Amino acid sequence: MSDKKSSVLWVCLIILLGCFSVMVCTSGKTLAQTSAPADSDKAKFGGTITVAWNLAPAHLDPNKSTGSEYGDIGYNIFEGLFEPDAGQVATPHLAESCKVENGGKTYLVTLRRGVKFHNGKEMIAEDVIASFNRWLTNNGGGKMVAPYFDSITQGAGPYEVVIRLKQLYAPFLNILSSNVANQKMFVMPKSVVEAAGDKPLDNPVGTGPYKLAGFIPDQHAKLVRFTEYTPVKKPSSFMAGERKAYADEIVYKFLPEEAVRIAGVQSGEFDFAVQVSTDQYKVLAGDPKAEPLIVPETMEHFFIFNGAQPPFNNIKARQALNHCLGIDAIAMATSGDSKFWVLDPSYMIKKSAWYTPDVGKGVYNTPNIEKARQLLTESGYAGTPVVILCSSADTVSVQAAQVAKAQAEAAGFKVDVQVYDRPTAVGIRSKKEGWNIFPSGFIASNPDPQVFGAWMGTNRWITNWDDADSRKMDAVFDRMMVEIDPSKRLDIVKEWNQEIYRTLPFIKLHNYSILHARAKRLQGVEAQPRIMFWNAWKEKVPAS
Amino acid sequence: MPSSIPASSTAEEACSLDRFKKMIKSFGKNRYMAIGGTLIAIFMSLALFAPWLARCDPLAIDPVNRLHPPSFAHWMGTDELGRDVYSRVVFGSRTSIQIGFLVVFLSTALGLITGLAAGYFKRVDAIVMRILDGLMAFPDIIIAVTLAAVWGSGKLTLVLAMVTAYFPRMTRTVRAAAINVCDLEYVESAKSIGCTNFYIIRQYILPNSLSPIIVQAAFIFAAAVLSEAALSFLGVGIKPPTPSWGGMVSQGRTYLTIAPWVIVFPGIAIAMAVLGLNLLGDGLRDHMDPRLQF
Repeated sequence: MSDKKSSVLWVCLIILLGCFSVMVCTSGKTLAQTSAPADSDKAKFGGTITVAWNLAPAHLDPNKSTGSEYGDIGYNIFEGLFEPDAGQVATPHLAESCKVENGGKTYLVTLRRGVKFHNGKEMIAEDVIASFNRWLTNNGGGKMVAPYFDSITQGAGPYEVVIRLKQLYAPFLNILSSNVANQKMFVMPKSVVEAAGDKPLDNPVGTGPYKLAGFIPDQHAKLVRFTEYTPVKKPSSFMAGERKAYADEIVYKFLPEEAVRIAGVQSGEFDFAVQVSTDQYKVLAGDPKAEPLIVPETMEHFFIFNGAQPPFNNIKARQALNHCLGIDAIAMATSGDSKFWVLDPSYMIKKSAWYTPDVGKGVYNTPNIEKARQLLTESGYAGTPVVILCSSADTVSVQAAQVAKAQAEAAGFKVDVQVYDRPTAVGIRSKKEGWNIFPSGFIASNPDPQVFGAWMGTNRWITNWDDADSRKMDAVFDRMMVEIDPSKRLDIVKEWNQEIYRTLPFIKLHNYSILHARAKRLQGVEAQPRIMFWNAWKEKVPAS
Repeated sequence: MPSSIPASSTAEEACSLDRFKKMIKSFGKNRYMAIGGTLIAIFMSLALFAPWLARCDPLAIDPVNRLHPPSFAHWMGTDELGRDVYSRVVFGSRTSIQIGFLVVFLSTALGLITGLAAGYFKRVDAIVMRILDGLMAFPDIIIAVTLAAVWGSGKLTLVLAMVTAYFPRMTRTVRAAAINVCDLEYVESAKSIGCTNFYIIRQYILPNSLSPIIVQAAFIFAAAVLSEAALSFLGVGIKPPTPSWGGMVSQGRTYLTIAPWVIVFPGIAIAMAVLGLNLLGDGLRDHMDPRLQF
């Protein structure tokens, strides 16, 4: 090697070590608090809000997937007859009012007049009927309503719709407005619905404050202000109430790399970055241009068993794994500081009317290796590796799987953690073979326990659970869906919770907060389970 | 010296010892080889003695001590699950070197068969080289990523994907060396006295083509270490929680700003290993090339 080459080599090494030293020295920044809520009186119109989004949807039809990425962008485009307020109460939105008759089996919905679709046509009853019928057969929420549904017809005029149910369905309005699992019934023009049929929408048209101006899968979605938007004349509250489109445009850029999303907010390229690791809190709090936005207890994490395959088609094996898991260790490893997570056996969060803190005693977070070994032996576990299937985009799940692997192997399980990109992981989990556990986070602030009915019970969602216990669970849900007395319904909710802890079709882990990164110039974004950019504005609008 | 050993044998031993000393001396004179060899010796030692050199179980999770900076207890700090980064880097060397050796062995074996066949038999040459030209039209890493994604993650599939990507390089090298040797007089002589093709290839062509093959093997080793890191970084390589340098960089990239040690140490390990292998390859090339001996 020539002397010149050798010198260059050493200089490179010294620079590398120097950079490392600088990074080590600057890593411990001081903890800063999130700024106070923005004052809406100072709101300004104009500009483009650029959002760095973690997941990339293949289309923008929320009826065709339960994935949050399929709904979040659509919330700007589409609106529901009812929308949930901050207390998760279904509030008329495109509906003017709703009268419930016939003992809760008939809903007379009066529509708001003068509401325009993005194609310029006014929303009338035929659009609602067409949207409702497509929702019934294509949307997960609609499919849950379908067995109870009788008919939907136009009422006294083009601004009235009558929905009749065959039998009482307690969470009907909740499911119409639900903000979880894309269950909401969005209203679209009849022509758009008929053109789409059962395929994903080619041309998303709604009544929302923003309309679609461009969508390139895996790159970006561009929305522009809908100038003929007619907002509800009520104060804004979560998804309900007035929506103001301050920004001229919202551009969602799909960027799975967390470091890129954060760096973009810090450099001023992006105004908002969704879902960054809670470990980044200190970095964001100490940044002059960015701020952390914490949404407390947004998510709850689960290990979902594949009930079609051994060993977890056997209740003893499920119980064995449950006794392997130290949930506090998993929570600490995945969500860091304890201010970002909480252990709670209830499936509904504290502020819900259906909160059940007393369930799961002796089952939830009860690590006991000896008991786990005994149960595993009783289950007849043959030593076949248990596949924990993860999506690489879901870092919480990947880390939880690695901790669980260490804990489960201590009791005698053999565990194989398999990490794939999200489409591949979703493809594998849709089959009955090839996986045993799928870790996943779900929005915790559910308006009603009905949402769990979509994935708990006989052959629901991905569980492939089909035995006497699953059918017992079906029966519990059937009773819950028709019970309208709150006290009696709470008893059924408790029974359902206890039944889950008895049969363990999945294991609930911890509730955790979500951290987003917000540029300080972006104001009005609420810390809610779903992040919306109507009612948000930029303080400094660059001159066009 | 025992008297039972014949004098001629003693002389031969002394001669080979002398040759070995000369070789070591010439290695020492070649700075490429000295630095590369030292680096590779260090990494080989890490891989061989990993259980004794590592301070903790590389898989032991300790959430209470996650993302701790380098300290006496954890020389290279801890990662996002509280695992000791130093121990993972040490055990990660095993993964890289195992994969590197397997890729080199299989690529060389496949490259020798196809390259010698193509270099010696003209008809085979046309078919084999057209197929390999097609394969080489794609960048190595694209082939490896595609195959690893299709076959699934895991050490064996990773090795096979990389062998598919790298053996054409070896085939070309072997073929070129074989063609050169085929035209030499002693091969013509062997043919004229009726030696079989297999005998000629084994006895004359292969031994006289070894130098470029050894050099190419060193470069494939380096490429394999780098590709393993790249594929693990992309999520199609070694499955977590098995320690691999690329996987550590991939999983730690989220924490670059808050815990740079998680990514920097495996990154340095990758850089040093690849640098060592490349320098060793350069040194071997210089050492074995007779044109550079004067």
